[in-house]
Amino acid sequence: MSRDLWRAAIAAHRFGLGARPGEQAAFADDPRGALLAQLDGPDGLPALPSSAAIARSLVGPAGRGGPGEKKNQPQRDLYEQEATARTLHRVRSPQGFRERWVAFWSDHFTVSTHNRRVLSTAGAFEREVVRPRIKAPFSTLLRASTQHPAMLSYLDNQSSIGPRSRLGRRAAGRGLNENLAREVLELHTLGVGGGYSQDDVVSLARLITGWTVDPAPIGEAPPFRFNPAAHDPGAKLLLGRVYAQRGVLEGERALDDLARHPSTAAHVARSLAQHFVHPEAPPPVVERFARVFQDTEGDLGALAAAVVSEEMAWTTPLSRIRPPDEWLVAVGRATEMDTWMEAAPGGDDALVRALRKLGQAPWSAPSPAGWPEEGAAWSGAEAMLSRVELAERLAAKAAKHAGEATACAAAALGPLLSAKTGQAIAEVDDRQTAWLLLLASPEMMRR
Amino acid sequence: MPTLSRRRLLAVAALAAAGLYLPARADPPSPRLVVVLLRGALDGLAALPPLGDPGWPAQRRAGGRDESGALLDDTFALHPGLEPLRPAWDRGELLPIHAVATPIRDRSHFLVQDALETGQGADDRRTDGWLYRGLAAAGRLDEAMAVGRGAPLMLRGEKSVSSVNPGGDDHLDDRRIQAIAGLWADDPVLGPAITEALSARAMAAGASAKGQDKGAAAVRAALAGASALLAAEGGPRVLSVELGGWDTHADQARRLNVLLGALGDGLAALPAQVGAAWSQTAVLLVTEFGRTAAHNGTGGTDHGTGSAALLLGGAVRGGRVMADWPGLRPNALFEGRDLQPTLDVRRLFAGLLSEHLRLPPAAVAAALPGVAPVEGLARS
Repeated sequence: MSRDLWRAAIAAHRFGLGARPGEQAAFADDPRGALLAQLDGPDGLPALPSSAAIARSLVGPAGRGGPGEKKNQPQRDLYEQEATARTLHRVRSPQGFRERWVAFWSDHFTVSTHNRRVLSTAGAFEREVVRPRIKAPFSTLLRASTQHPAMLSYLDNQSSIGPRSRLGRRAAGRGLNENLAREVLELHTLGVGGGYSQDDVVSLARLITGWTVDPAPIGEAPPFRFNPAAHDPGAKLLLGRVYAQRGVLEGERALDDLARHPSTAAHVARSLAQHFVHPEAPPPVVERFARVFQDTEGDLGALAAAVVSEEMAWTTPLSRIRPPDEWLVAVGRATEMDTWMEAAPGGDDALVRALRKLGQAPWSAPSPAGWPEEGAAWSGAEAMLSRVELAERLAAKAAKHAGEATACAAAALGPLLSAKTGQAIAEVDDRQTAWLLLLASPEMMRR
Repeated sequence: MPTLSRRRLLAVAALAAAGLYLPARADPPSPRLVVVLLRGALDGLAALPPLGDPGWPAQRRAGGRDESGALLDDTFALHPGLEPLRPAWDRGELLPIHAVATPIRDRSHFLVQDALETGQGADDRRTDGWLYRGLAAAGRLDEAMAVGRGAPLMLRGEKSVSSVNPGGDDHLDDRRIQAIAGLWADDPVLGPAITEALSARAMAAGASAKGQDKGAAAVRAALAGASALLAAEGGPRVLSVELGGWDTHADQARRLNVLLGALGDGLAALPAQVGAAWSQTAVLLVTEFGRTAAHNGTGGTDHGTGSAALLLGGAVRGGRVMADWPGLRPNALFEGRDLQPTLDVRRLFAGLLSEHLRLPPAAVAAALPGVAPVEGLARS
């Protein structure tokens, strides 16, 4: 097998979301350069309302749904719109690696619609926090995340009140909520075992008291509001460092210091290695990524360059089971589903329904820790059977709209297509089964 | 002829899907045509075994396997599964046709199914269906409907033809899931997952539907749905039906007993189900190609060339076998292995369009340019 073909396939499948027909050719000359070039310029996601506009649209009775509607109907509608736009974008985008990079950071800073309060803003979080910062310093991402209304309400900080603040002294029974502070330390920065104590959790929670959601935002910036009346007064001690009372600035400074902490570098490096290189996060790879993180103060552009330059990622066979959403998107890309889906019954919201059925609707991770990283979480008997069932329904449509499965197999999988699968697809006696075999092939399931 | 509104067609389709029958029309019914595509390549030599052919024993009695059936005439017999059609034969409503093929000499299912449906010759390429072109040229597209998930290529063209899927469900049929299981078998992750999933399914199914064959159930559901549509007042006059599962590379005797049995039962029930309109009905069953004259090494047959077709209905001039029989002697076989076709299947299509549906000659020519209709298929 030609080395160039193989690397083009790796670029499309390991780093991207699978290949659209012809896409592997774009990686033929300089796969690394082509991947990194995807991070530049606009991403082409259609414009959607800002979280501020969403907040304004839901003020008062408008946020409660019309007569005969479910309680959350306006929020549900916004979610469906976001989820559909995002999924379709992942199918369409020529920047597959960029979308994986966005999804990685979106997952690192998980907000989940399991908490119904963020139903309308989970999508805006990704658009406002992650997408503009895919090459920015980690510290700016951390701050934007921690101050975004979706994160503040997902992890309850908007109701956290400093015990000795003006509000805290008045309101008996209300006080500190450690939820966001704990997850910032455990998931977003230092990581489990990153060297923080329960006292540090309390200190960070106190540092970000008063960080809340602006109920009546003006303009288009995410509606963050610092409420001094809820902010716990006095100096705080976090990880051995004293933060003098400086209002919103003390929390921002604390986050900047957390972003610079060696444990954060190690934690992020480990996640990147696991996600893009190898599930066991080989220590030398983690060390290389961590060094880049520290040398560049967590510059995401430099990290992306380090990830796509990691030789192990280009040589390890594609053995990991794609999570359901990546599989469906890969199928969508291979079959150019966006070009025929509207002709098919159900139209494009069928994608989100399918994702829901597979257990991975956008922004619905089971916990703040995000989606499970290891393939085993997705490859149980029932889970795989529901993929096959969905593949069969899609195969029926692909057989009508997407030409020949044999041609698609060659274009989408290239050198990854095994002789066994290729032969099975070519020899089967009806088109729909041929498509089923391709869409549910072991190759299509992996990245 | 009354024109059919799309709304009316859809209402009829909904009723048919629900298994409801509408009363038959009182006025003299207009012609009905059903074209059944047997996808996967039906073994014509098993469906209509030429027991009287001196070359038969050498091809099919080798290795202890014996395919058989009761004779229709001196040469041809009916597969036991099709024996329920004997009364139709006796009434002169069954016309078996043998040594039929498309003009395309290829053994790829897709390529030849496409040819069967587009009606293209060996040298032209078409992307729309012959039945679509004929009906569209006659301004009678409104009369058509597809039984199944969407219209087959035969009924596809610029405009869309509506479809109804009686008995359709989202469950995987066994053939498909077996294909996946085969593909996944050696995979370290997917192999165990599919094995476990299948055994769970088998356990769940064991209690309720023991011995149910998905392929046979699909045949029954499709034919019952088609007959309901044919009987319906204001219903469609031209139907396509697609039935899969005929690619019998292995275990052919058992598979065909099940599938042809379901087909025979379903077809034999049509006269009663269709009622008054049966006298104006013709049902044509065709497949993309035949199978090897001899068995292969796995109890089946491989992709071949000439096959058989069946024409059935109150409007059919049957009670005879139509075949310019080439014989099964080794030197009579196509490429030394397949039944040599002697009739272009498109001539049957053209014959039915002109004699039975009574399309004007220009519409028949639009459907199948340059194809000479077989005459005498329909009673007139």
